[in-house]
Amino acid sequence: MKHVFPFLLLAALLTGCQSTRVASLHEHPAREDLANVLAEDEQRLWNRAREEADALDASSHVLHDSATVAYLEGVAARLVPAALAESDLVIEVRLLHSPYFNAFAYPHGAIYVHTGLLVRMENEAQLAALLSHEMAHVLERHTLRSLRDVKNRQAFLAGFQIAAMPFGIYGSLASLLGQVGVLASVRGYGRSLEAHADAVGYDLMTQAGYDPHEAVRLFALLQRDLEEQDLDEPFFFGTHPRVAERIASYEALVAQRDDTPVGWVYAERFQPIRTAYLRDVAELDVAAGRFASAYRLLHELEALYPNDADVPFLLGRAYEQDPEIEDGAAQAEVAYRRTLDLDADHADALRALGLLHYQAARCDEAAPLLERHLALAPDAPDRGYLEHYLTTCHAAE
Amino acid sequence: MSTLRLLPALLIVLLLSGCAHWSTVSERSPSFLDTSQNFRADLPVGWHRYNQQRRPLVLTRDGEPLQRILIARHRLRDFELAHTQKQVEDDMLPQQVAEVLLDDLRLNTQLSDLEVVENQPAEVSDLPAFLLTVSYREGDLPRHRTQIGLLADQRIYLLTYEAPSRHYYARDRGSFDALVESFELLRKPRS
Repeated sequence: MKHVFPFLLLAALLTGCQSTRVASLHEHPAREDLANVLAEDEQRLWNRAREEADALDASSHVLHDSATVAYLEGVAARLVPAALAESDLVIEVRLLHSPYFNAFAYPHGAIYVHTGLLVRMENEAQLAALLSHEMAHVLERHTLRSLRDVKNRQAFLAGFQIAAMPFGIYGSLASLLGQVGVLASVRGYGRSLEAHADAVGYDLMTQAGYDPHEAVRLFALLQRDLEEQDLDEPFFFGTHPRVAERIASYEALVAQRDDTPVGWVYAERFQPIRTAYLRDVAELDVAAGRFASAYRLLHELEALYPNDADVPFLLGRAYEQDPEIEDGAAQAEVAYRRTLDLDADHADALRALGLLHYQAARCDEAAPLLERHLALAPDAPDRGYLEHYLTTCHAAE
Repeated sequence: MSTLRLLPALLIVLLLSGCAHWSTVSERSPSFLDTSQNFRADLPVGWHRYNQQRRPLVLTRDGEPLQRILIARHRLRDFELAHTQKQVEDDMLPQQVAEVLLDDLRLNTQLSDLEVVENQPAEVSDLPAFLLTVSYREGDLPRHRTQIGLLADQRIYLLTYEAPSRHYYARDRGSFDALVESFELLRKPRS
């Protein structure tokens, strides 16, 4: 019932007959107080969005990595139109700890990028394409337009009905993102407003000097990953038709504007930002059972950091749990041995290899590994299980 | 017909429908037997049991937000978790089952600040089981959740206790532990 109540409130809010003609925020004169620009219903929408964003920021899913956030906000600042640069519209960018391909914006200017999407990008121009698309939703007041558009109302309410689902991944999303957040991140704004965001975003990124061809490339990369890895995601940018629409839309924009500049790509300065999160996203992918996605990231990490013992360890975890791999246990054993070659005291690999032997009833090999693990990790949260296995092994001697 | 004349009838309907949903576990008959779900257990006296044909079995003392015990059984082939695509397999060790369920909790964006409080072997109905307790924040509210699980004959049995960390979790944990102690499979696994 708690999910339904806000939905009813919003439905009540929608019943006002407001004009659907909404000017862009950047059409307003510079330095004008935004409080004077916002209509009453929009002010309420912003207040609600701020509350949802505050709740999200207080959760452990938002990463407080100040260096990365400063970089993301630096890119966003370059995209803000000059007319708004000194207004009190604040574009903030946040990083969400999540393996999914997603980004979304609240109407008051808070943009959230999932780490799962960040690591799929190749350069700063692709990041600029994503941020400018999201910023376009803010500048063009797409949430407000959806609220006021009678034709969209049915579909818009359907978006909130998703948010009202109490269980499963949608219920979980609704709780974390709030209902405005679910609209922005799951449903999107309908085909015409999304195409509008592509066109406005295209202008923002080219005016900032970025190469717009990278927008096409970004969505082509996402489409390739969705197809190759057979991913099934609940979010807007993780949905085949929406990603295909973005590719077609940006290709048309590049073709229409035959004076399209080449612009900046900035691959080198972007790389450290994404590689910092490769391992984290690979680990989330393994936990989520998205093994094909995890392998792609882990093989890239293997090439980048051949002596990093955590990489073969995570590969071993994936092999062990991936039902598509026939000899998963054998491949996992090889990966764990490789981990221990790189770091003989890798406590997690000792435990994992010990458990593999224990499951195969090879107590003589399991016991020394589990004992070494416990010596290295005396506070292991699963100590009780391991001591139980050791007792069983010693009793069988 | 005036609304006033309808009121007593409406009240009776409401009261009856309320009675139909929840019943109180009495001292005289705390034992609960579900042959279709293959288990029996002594339910905590004074708690309320949801009466409908709803699975899982739901028990609460003061209302579900304040504390609840769930007893569920799933066929492994139908057991899908909400946040991970991983499956629980019948040859897994209890510890490995706990790890899959823990991954699912970690990926649940509804839960913030998830911490493992205890993860240890247990025995239920003379069968090996896992005991997993986590703490987390749901909105602003810190909560605890203890889950005990066991595999038998291609099925997973899960006994779950959830309550706000402050006051309620510790107060009613004993009732859950007593229920777990009494929990018994009617037909034990074949091997």
